Amino acid sequence: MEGTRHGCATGARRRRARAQATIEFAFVAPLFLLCFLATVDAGLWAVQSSAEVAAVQQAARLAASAGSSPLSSTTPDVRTVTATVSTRLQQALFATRLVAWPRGCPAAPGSVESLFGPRVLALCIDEHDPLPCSAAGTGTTPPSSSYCSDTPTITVRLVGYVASLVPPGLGITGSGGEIPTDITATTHTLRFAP
Amino acid sequence: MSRRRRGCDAQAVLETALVIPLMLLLVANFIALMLQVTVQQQLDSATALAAESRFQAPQEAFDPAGVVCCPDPRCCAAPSDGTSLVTAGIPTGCRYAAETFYGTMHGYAGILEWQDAPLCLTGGDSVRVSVRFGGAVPYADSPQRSHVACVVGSNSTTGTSYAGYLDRTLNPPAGLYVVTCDATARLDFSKTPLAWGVFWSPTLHAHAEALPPPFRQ
Repeated sequence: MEGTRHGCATGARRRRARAQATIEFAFVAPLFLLCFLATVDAGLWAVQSSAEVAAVQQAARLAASAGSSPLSSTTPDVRTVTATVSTRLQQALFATRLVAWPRGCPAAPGSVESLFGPRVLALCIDEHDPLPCSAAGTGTTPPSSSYCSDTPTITVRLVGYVASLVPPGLGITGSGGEIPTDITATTHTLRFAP
Repeated sequence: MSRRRRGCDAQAVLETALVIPLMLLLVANFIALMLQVTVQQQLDSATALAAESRFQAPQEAFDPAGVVCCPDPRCCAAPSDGTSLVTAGIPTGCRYAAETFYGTMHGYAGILEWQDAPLCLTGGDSVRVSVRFGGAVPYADSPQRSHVACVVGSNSTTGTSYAGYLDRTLNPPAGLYVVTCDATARLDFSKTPLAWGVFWSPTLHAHAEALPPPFRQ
């Protein structure tokens, strides 16, 4: 094999060039793949987050309006609210399951994972009722007496981990394949006496 | 190794050195853009819920002395907390709007720089587009540094009537009184892990209007 005057490599040089190209590819390909996955993942995350924000807002409105019906004197059933928003939300969730959190709200996304497993979002409803006004007439006025005529607040949260394309070991959580989510909507509601 | 061979190697290294940072920069800015979209949507959602929640309070209710909010001292902060807003003397609907807004927007505290404004305002007209809040003025007792500013009409028990925001695009030319809420914040990417490659900080603004429910009109 002979080298040419003008080419970078032929013959033995060409083999070396091929080897070099292979090594370069081995370096660049994972980096490129990581960038590609990060870009797709960011897009997916944005789509999922947008859908989640819209769903939580809808759930808060629903919970507030359902709770303020004259026929209802308690917080609306979380399963009913979840079922209502799930049809719209599930279209945007990629490989993530949506469940209703049984009572109150979980403290952190990890609580959802420990109960339902990975890639699960839990919808929960938490209601804060005002303190009863009668407490103000006991002689020692509690500091919260100014709030006794307030309407209850309803907080709807979507907590858990959504699926992502980040390979295991490289994710935020260490396990990879999922991104923590905690989206909240709070609103006041009316409550009729039972 | 020949001079030409070394030249080829050097060229490959130079190409890689140029392309990789550029690629990482593109990815970082794309992620930043996605973050901006998400935060903007959360801001829109919080502002809309805030404007709507005003109608859960009676039209004539004003907060008595000692009331503070945001975060709600009943659950989340001491009344002496520096971040709290003293809402005594302003319509309760303003506090409801603030509680809703702060409760919904709590997730992005570290990366948003708020452009604070008076919490509770009265008046304002949609024809006065060049003036902030359509010319609405703060209530005398309104907190001055709130993340959300709402124009809320109310009737006090002493008979004083405070106008809401007059939107003349609804029912023109006389217009309709509505509740409006505005929030403005700068998304500061320098406080995120993307700071090394994202050199812009967009200002996000959300505006929401809410009409009174029919049974209250």
